[in-house]
Amino acid sequence: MSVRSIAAVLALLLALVAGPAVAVAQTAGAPAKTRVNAAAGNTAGNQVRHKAGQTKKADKKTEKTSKVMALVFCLFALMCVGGSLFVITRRNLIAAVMGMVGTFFAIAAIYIMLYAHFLAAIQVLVYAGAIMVLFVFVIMILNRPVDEPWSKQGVWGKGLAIAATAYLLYRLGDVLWSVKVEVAGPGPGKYIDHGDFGSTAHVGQVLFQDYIFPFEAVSIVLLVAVVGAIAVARPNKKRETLDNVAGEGGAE
Amino acid sequence: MKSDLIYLIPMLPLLGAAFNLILGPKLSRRVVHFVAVGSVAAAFFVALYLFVGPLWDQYQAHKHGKAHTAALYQHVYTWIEVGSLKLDLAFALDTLSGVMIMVVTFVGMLIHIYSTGYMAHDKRYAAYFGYLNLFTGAMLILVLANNLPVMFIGWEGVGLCSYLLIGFWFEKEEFAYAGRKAFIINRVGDFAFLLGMFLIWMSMSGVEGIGGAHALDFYKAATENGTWTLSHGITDSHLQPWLWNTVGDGRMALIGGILLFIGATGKSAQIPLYIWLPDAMAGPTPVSALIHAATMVTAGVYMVARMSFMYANSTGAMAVVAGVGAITALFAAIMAFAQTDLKKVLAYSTISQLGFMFTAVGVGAYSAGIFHLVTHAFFKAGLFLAAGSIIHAMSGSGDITKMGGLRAKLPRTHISFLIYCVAISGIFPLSGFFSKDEILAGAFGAHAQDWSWGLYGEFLWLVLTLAALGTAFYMFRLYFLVFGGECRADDETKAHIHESPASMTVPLLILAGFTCVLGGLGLPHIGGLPNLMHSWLEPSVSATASAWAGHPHGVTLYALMGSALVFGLAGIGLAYALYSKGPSEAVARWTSGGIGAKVHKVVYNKFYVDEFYELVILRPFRWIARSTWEFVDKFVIDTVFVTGTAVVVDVAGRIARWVQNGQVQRYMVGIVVGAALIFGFSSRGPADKFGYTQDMSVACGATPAPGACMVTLRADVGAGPSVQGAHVVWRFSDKLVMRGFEVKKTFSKAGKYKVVMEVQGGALQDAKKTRSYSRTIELKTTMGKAGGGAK
Amino acid sequence: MSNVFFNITYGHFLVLAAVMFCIGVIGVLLRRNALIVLMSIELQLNAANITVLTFARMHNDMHGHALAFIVIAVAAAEAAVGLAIVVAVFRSRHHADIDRLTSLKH
Repeated sequence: MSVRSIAAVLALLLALVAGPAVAVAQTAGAPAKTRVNAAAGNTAGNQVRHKAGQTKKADKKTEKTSKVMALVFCLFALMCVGGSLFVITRRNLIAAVMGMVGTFFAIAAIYIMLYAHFLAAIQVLVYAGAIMVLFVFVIMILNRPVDEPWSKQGVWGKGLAIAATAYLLYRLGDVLWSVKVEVAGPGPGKYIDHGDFGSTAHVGQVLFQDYIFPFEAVSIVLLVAVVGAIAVARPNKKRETLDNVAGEGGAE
Repeated sequence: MKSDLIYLIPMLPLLGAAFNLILGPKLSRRVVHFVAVGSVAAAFFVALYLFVGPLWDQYQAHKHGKAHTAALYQHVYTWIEVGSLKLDLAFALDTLSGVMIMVVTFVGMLIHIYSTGYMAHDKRYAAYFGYLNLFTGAMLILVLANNLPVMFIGWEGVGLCSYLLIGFWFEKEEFAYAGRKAFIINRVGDFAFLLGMFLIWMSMSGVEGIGGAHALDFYKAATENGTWTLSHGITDSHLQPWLWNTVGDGRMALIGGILLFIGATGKSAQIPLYIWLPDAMAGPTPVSALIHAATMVTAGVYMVARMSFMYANSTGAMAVVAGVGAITALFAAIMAFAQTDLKKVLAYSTISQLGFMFTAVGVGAYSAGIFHLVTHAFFKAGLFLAAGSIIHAMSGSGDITKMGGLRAKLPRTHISFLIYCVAISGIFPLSGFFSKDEILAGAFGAHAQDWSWGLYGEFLWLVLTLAALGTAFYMFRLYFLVFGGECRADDETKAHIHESPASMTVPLLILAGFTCVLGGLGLPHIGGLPNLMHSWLEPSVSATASAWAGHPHGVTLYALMGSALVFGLAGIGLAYALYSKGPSEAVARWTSGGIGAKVHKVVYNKFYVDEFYELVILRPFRWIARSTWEFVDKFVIDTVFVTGTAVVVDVAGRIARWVQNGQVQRYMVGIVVGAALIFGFSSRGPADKFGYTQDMSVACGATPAPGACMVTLRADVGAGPSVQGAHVVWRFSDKLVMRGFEVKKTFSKAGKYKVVMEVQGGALQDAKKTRSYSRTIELKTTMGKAGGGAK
Repeated sequence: MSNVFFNITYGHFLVLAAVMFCIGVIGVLLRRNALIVLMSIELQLNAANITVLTFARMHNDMHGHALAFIVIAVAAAEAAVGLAIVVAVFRSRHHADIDRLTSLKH
């Protein structure tokens, strides 16, 4: 059993397990304790858990998340990061694609934790289901499943890149970690609350009311992409001259 | 005005020079030498006219008290006018320059005529006469100048022409080197001359009545009632107390005088700058006659005589001049004993005689010095011209060891040469006797005004007498070796010996004639005999200084004259004894071994002075030049700057080229690095750990008032998960404690307060540790619209 | 310290997204195969999506979801065109090594 197949199986299993696990955790997990900060003033935003099916705004009480949720998050976060690392380090292209698929499933799970259920489904359908399949098709067309070895030239450039990226990560992480969370309230845009946060209906509302133009534009983008892909990837055939055609016709 | 003709005297030879230098090469020899000789002859006649006409009248007028000075003055134009400096191109013809112009133009004319014969076969005929005319013009500018800078123009001009003429046959390398050596040594002297001139300007330009524009003038011209009147400028005798008082005991005169004298040593070949003159014999013989016997080398003597009024303020400077002159006279005479080249002997003789002249002007016997200058000009020029004739006869060789017995073959040359030798040895009644004797007499009794010279005068007299003895000896050694005995030349040369053409021998005879009679100009002070030179020069030189020279009379005078004669005859006798039949075997025996050989070697090598200079001055100088070239030019400029710039550009290009290699990933690296830099340069978080704002709408005053100075303090310790579960405690200096992320506090009055904030807890932090930040907040007084509070 | 793992806040999601983004950046800069590079770009887009959804949740604003939706669609289009280009390039040069595609140099 190769690494690839193991990775693929694990990803599949987790995908099957992920959804129900999270859903169960969300419904079953009750906040263990509440701790209220003394005095007035801003408080750090904490994750607020909704019960499934309830229509509630985020309340001002702070809660500690349940241990199960924490475990689930850590698990899927690890899968994300692990999968990403897998992708960028594999020499075998198919292995990389499999790693990518696993990553996408884990990301879908993360989306569910963020109450973006519709998008989680779309993520699995589009990314893992269509784009990665496209990648596999292309790998098969190219018929070169193994990448060239790491090159020795340009080491300075690569070293510089790693250093810059590491610094970038440090700064980004620093900034994002200390994002101030304001009191949760209705967002700046208008929306009519037709359902739960993150549900399909909700997304549909926003999409077809506030973002109808971008939606139509995206459909044109997709059309252009389709046409463009065909135009670019079409194999070059020599135009047949009249002589050839006549010749072939005559020879028959 | 008759003095308007003065400018013609230098102008005519200069025009001739311009003509010959520009057009000469294309014209025939006749035209060239006609113009050349003609221009100098014209200058001579103008000079003669001015001398016996207007200048004589002016002299008489001055003698009878009707004129301020015995000088004619011509202002040509204002040369430099800058700030307080105003220099005129002006000529002053006084009795001293009158003597000089007669000598220069007359002897110059004769030498020009001689040159037409001597240089007849030279291919650069026109250039030669052009240079010769240029020299004559420059010398006349020097002599006629009314101020030091214009004199310096002439000074430099004669130096230049000396270089051009010494190195006239520059195809031979050593001749070119000789010219260069002369010029450079002259330049060293000129530098000292310039320093002296600057010093005089600096110290005199502020002196009232003389300073400012006319600080460097010899004669100050001023118009009074529409007529020119002249008073002495730098030479004003009224000035003496001024200088004494204003410049510190005549120190300016001492230093300036010495500096100018160093310039004179360069020009007039005294110690230490005489070494160019023997080498200058590389030039054509007429050049040696004119420049290095009669005119250029006398410029130094003339300058000292001209500056007599300045030297009169410093007995120290005069002592230096006299001493150097005397030592040079003796030294050069000794060096002439062993020379075997005809012209070199004459060169050392010139140096020696110039030493005599400097001693004369150094003790204040100006008329003696100038008189000797005049007589020396005639017989030394004659000697050189005769040497030219001899060399011409000997097919170009000047080696006296190969001459001899020319008496029969060159009669006219022989008789003139004999006359010159007798004159230079100081034998009565030729002119040399009178002039040399006057110098010796002046030196013997020299005494300065307020400085006891002790036996200095006697010392000078002794040195000069020995030099005179030496002069007689080596001159007659020369005479006997050249004209006496048997001819030692080889047969081919012997066959060519012939007397020179008339153009060469006639000047010789003319000069010989003058040598005989010129003695009458300076008769000694016996029984009322007039000393014409002395009385003629009297208005032009400092009376104070003239009084220092000795004026022996009576027995002393007779004794001095007699001893001079005896010494002269002794020298001749010694030479006759040793050399009358050719090179002396006695001398040859003495110099073949032991101490005699060593002495001979030292003297023959001119006391190794040239070698000494080469070692001490030239070698370090060349080393410095080469090192500068190696280091500054080759290393710093070429390698570091030129090649280095190229290398830097190359390396920079290489680095820059790395960025663009066509690979897209390389460019993306650039993007990421740019993003990282942007993050890097932006601020990283709150500088202060807490911020505060003062409520300005509430009056906060300097005096305590209830309810004043409201401040809101905000903890800035991050947000989100990092402060989850944190508490903030505020501590104030009045022991008040508040809690919370944002608090409001009232202070009693404006000023500085220390606030401490403590944070405890929060995610990622240890709950037990307290982080505290303290800061001094400053509250300002706000005199709002509500007024209140004192200002 | 244990608080970090047991108390999941929005910051956790954001940092996760940042980490994934940087991994994507490294993949883009360091890998030579064009397909891996495209996959890394997809990774970056997903990281951005996570960030958008986190903020949407934070501010209880559904507009983030719309944006994320559109991002997914555009990413799909871009992947399609990108892969088509890779195929075309491979056809003419017979390799998909972007280190060797240096025509931009001059």
